[in-house]
This record gives sequence, structure tokens and C-alpha cells, in this order.
Amino acid sequence: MNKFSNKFLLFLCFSGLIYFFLICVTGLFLPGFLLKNLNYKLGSYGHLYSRMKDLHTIHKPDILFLGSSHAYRGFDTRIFKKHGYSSFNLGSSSQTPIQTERLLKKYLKKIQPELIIYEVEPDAFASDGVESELDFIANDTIDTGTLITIWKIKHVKLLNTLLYGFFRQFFHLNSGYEEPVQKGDDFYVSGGGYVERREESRKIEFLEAPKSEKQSLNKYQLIAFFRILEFFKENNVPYLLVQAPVTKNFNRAVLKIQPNVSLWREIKREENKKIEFLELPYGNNKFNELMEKIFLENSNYFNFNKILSLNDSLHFYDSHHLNQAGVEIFNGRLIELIENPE
Amino acid sequence: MLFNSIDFAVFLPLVFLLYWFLAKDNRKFQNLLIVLSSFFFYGFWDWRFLNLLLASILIDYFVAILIEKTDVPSKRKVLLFTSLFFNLGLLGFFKYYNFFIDNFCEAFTFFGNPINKSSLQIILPVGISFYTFQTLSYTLDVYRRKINSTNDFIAFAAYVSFFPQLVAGPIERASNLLPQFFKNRTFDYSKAVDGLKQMLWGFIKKMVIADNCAVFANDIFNHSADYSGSTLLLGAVFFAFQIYGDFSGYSDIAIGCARLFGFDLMKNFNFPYFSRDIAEFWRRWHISLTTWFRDYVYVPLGGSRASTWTKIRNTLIVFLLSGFWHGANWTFIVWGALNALFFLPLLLSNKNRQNLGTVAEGKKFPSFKEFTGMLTTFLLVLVGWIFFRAENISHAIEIFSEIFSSSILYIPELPRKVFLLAPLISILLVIEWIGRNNPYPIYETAKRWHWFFRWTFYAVLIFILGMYMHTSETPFIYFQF
Repeated sequence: MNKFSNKFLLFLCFSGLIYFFLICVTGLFLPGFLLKNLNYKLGSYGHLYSRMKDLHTIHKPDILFLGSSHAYRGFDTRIFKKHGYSSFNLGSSSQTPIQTERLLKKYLKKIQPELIIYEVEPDAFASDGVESELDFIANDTIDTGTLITIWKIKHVKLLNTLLYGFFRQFFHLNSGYEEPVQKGDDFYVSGGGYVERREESRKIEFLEAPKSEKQSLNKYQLIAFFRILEFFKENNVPYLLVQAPVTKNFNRAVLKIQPNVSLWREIKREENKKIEFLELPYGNNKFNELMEKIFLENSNYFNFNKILSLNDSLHFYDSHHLNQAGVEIFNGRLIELIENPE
Repeated sequence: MLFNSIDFAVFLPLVFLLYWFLAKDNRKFQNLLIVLSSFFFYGFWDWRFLNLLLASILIDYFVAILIEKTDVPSKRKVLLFTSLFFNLGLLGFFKYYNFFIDNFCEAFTFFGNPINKSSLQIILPVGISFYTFQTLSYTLDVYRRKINSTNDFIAFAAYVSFFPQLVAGPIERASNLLPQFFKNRTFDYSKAVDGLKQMLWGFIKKMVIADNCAVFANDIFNHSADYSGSTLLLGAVFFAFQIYGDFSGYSDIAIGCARLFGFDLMKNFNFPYFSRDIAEFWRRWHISLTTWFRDYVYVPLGGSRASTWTKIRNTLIVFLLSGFWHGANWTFIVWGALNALFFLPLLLSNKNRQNLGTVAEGKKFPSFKEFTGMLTTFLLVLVGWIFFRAENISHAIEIFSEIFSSSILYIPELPRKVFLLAPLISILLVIEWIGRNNPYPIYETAKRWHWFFRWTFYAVLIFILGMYMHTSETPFIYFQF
């Protein structure tokens, strides 16, 4: 038995080394489509690499934006500047509350914004957070926070990408990388974090069903979300929750999600001490009704799918992202609401 | 608890350490630990169904003792029927109640007397078809005086509930597994290493081959109306590898896991896709179920030593029962009937035992005849799998009509990702072909290599698992049976 235990432990170390070696070699030399569970995309869709670089130059802006692509494609820092507000957009592709919580804990004290505008979308609460974390591994510095998040999410793709990312970081393989400001139709606003879509022809996929229609709510995202609200309160940071406008078809699909009552009970049980304001049961309300109840209980919340009546054909470039015309209307109305709360 | 879950990755080492360190040299304590951990393993799904498992254990434990104590044939029969009634009753209620009610109502509606349906919302307890058959075989063997009943309740409970094979087999016979619970078990290094190797191969088959094939097979079968005949045929091929990887992978994990605890389970799959005819296929596919039906249904009915009509009847009964065992759906019954039709010509021409040895024994490649035999058998099996996987009979017919249309000549409409599956399936086939004489394919591979290369080989397999596994936990197909 001792022989077995010793050899088994030795083999685990040996295979760990071989595994790491093969991850590095395949990551360097094989094309992406042959690497099923390794997804390292430096300078990926969404300009996170440039955004994280710009973040280090930001100090005490009036507004910090957080959230998914609806945030970094929806809050144009240039429009806010015109109205006299300095701002920075820290949104990232499919950013979920798990990543938002980490970003806040890592950077809030350094940035010290006057106001946080946190874009919330139902899809983020149903997501496992893998896609967003992959984006951060490749485009941000890997640190203990990254490791803790990966431990929470527990996904082999994250583990493989982390190993490869660690290898690249250790040997400074990304040091010579310069991300282009314009990638395809996307134009990155340097210093602001906003990504403008400059597109002649629209590719609206009205029939596209959002993921959340098929998924149930993710317990860890909800827990992270409540911790974010707690964190805002503990640090006396004014914040605003915003649901960005999406096309009517997309919004209808999102509304189909049914929350699981037992999930709320589970969260209540696990997080009882930390989340005192969560009262149960909420019943089988639809997601938005439920979230609005929670949002409105705790903060200023604006659902722009109700506040604005945008035209699906004129103001969106796909089923859930605004084009520049839509962004201007959305941001203009948001600034009005900030300056003159109703 | 799924084998391919983090829960099991914590559970197994914990039980293993307790078993070999705490319960070391104490057979009874080891058996008790197996019972407790097996009940925990099973209760992890739904603790309510532990009652059924416990009831099944209790009934067969006492019935077998009583059968052995009496020599009065009528009493023995009554006791046997008690066990049969209970076990098959459980299966009948949980698995077939709604099927019979629905068909009964449909029959009345067909003859112009519609009646109200009262289907129940019944959840099928995981593994019920496996453990009821396992306990039944014990009672039947005691009744036939092939084995003696046991008074050791813990050993018997461990035999029925043994967690590696509790939910999807192999369906063990008491004559093989039960005596192992009476023997003292000491740790055997090479057996444990073998167990780990077989588990690793099982995980690769399940998580790399089966689960990745499932993505495409499910998409193609679930949206069959959108696809051409060539894509549908490819979907059937994906399903063939999905079900093989899934079920034989499970069996490898179960057998390997049992070896870690010092037990030898029976082989459940013997490279079935290398079969040269359908009779050979059925000697190599789900062996524990096939031999169960052979020993407890086919032989008692008269087997092959009877008139031609009796042979045909017996074969049909066994295949139909085998189909019905898989689930309450006509598709499984047709699947069974089709396999009977494929098998009968061989049986009636006395050619059903012409391929008993390993294909291309002692050679690197099969002969042309062997190759065509394997290909034909695979195509016949594929026909059966289409019925097996289809939602209902009309769905299967729709798929066949598309396959036999001109759209079979179209280039299959598949995403780019699918091309990764071809090399993975090829690696599986090559390794299985090389190791086809062994208990499991990588049994001999690398065994005599220098330790560095041997360990590197296993580490590369772990890398393949980590890099190409399907990333969400997917239940084993046979759990639903």
C-alpha cells in the first residue's frame, strides 16, 4: 500500500509536469480549432487588453461603468465627457457578477470613482462565467484573484487556459503585443474603454435565442451579485443598476426565465449572515419582476427596456447591442436621469 | 453521483483510504464500509429510492434463506414467485406503468371507445433494472441449487449495492461476486494499478469519445427534419460511438474501480465493433445482460436444443425482452426484434458460433473477408441504433426514408468542430484494435517500457482527457434504463 501511495503521488507530479509541458507546446504550435479545451485569445473580441492597459492610467473618474458587452458597447465615455463627466468603461465580454466582484475588489480603491454604473442583464445570472474568465486570463494579469475565481467556477477549459496563460506571463510572451484600435467594425476609444461599432450593413439575428432561455439561474452568480451590493454599501460608493436596452424579441425571450424558488432558499441558507436583505420566498415570478424587486429594494435601478422605446431596426446592430444612434439616445436619457432623478 | 463528477473524485479516494487503512485486515468492516459508502453513493441522487434498494436486498436475502431451508417444491415455488413478483413488480411499476396505461388507452381510442388517461408522474429510480436483475439472479440460483444462500446480511447487501456497478452494471452473478465478499482482501499493488489504468481508459471513452459524439448525435437526431440523408447517416455513426463509449466506458470505470477494492467484476464489453457477424456482436456487447437472458430465459425455455420453431420463438422472446428491458418505448422493442431478425438466419444455418475467436488473431490487419464481415455487422448494428435513438417509430421511419433518398449523396452539413472527432475516434479504434486480445485495450500497452516512457504514455492519455473531454457533466445513457 505504501509503495502504491508513493508511486501514485510521484506519478501525479510527473503527469502534472507532462500535462503542463503539453499545454504549453500545443498552445504555442497548434491552431485554435484543434485545442478544444484551451482558449487563449490575446486581444480578443471586445478590446479587453487595451482596456486593462488604460485602466492603470485612470484615477478618480466621475463614473465607472461595469458589466458585459452591453456596458462597453453601450456607455460611450465621449458622450459623458461632452456633458462634463469623466468616466471609464470597465465592461468586458459576458462579464458576470463573479468577475465584477473581483474587479471591484482589485481596482476600486485605486480608481476611486464618484459613481458606479453597473449594467445588469439576466443572461449574466444564468452564465457559468467561463467565457468572461477566459477573456481575463488572456488579457489581464493572472494573480491570486484569478486563481480563486477559477477554483469557484471549476472548469477544465479555464484550468488549461490558466496554465498556458501563466506560461506566457512568466516568459513575458505578450510584452510585444500591441492591440489595434480598430478590429473589423469595432473601434476602441482609447482612454475610455468604450467600443464603437462602425458598421454599414446590419446583421440582426432576430431569431437568436439568448442562452438564459435554456439555462437556470446560477447560484454563484447570485451570491456574487449580492456581495457586490454589500461591497458598495460597506465602501460607501454610490451606485446605479442599469439594464441596457435590447431588441423586443430578445427581451421577450429573456423574460421567459423562471427562477427556481429552492435556489433562493439555498442562497438564503448559505449566505444568511452576509445577505440580510434577501427576503424569501419570492415565488415563481418572472426573472425581471424578481430582479427588479431586489434591485429596487437596494438601489436606484433603471430598466431601459421600459424607459426607452427604441426601434429594433434603427437602433441596434444585432439582437441585443445598440448601434451608435441607439447609444446616443440611451446615454442621453441616462445622463438626464442622473442629473434630474424622477 | 456520477463517475465523471467532482463529487466522485472526492468520494473515491476517501472511501479507498478508509477501506485500506481503517478497515484493513477486517473483512466484515470492509464489507460494512462498502455498504455504507454504496448507500451514500446511491442516495446522492435521491435518498428516497434507498428504500427500494433496501427492500430489494431484504426480500431476496430472506427469500433465499427460506428457499434453501425447505425441500417442499410448492413452497419453494411460492417463495421464488414472491421474489419475482416483488422485483419485477418494482420494475413494472416504475418503468412500465405509464407505457401500459398509454397503450391501453390508445388501443381503446383506436377501436372507437376513448377513455381518460391517468398517467402518473413516476420518476425512474436510477439503476433499478440493474440491481433487480442482480438480486433476481441470486434467488434464481439458490432456487436451482446452483449456489447456497448466505446468512451474512452485510456481505449480501454489499453484493447488491456495490457502488462501482450498482447503477449500470455489469449485472454480476452471485456465483462470481458474492464469494469475493467472504474472502479476506489484501491490497494488491498490480491489481490497483490495473484498476486505475482501466478507469483512465473508461474516462477517455466516456468523456472524450461518447460525450463529444453526443453533441452532434443529439443535434442531428433532435433536428432530423433539417438534415440530409448523409448527415443523418453520420449522426447514426456518431450515436454508435456515443453509446459504445458511454456504456463500455462506464463498465471500464466500474471494473477498474472494483479492482481498487480488490474485486474482479465480469467483462461487459469485448470490442463489439470488431465483430464479424451479429451473433459475435451479441457475445461481445453488454455481455452481463446477454448472458443473464441466456441463462435465465433462453435456456429454461429450451434454448437451441429444440425444434426449429421453438428456437425461433425463444430467440424472438429473448431479443424482445432485451429490447423491452431498455425502456418502455416501442423503439426499443423494434430494436430487439430487428436484432432477432439479423441473428436468426445465423442460428438456423448453424453459423452463429463460427466466429468465436478474436478477429485477425496473431495478425496486424484483418483479411478482406474479416473486414467486410466487420463492416456489414457495423451497418446492421447501425440500423438498430437508429430505432434505439429515435423518439418513436415514425421518427425512425422518417430518418430511414431520408437516408434512402438522393440526399444520401449530399455533402454532410456539419460544423468545423466535428472534424476533431475523426482523429479522436481513429485513436480509439487503433488502440482498441491493438489491444483486442486483452481484458481492456491499454492492459499490455507500455507495460514493458522503461518507466519514463510508460508514465509519459499515461500522462499523454490524461492530457488527451483534459484537452478533449466534453466540459459539462453528462449522465451515462444507461442510467435511464
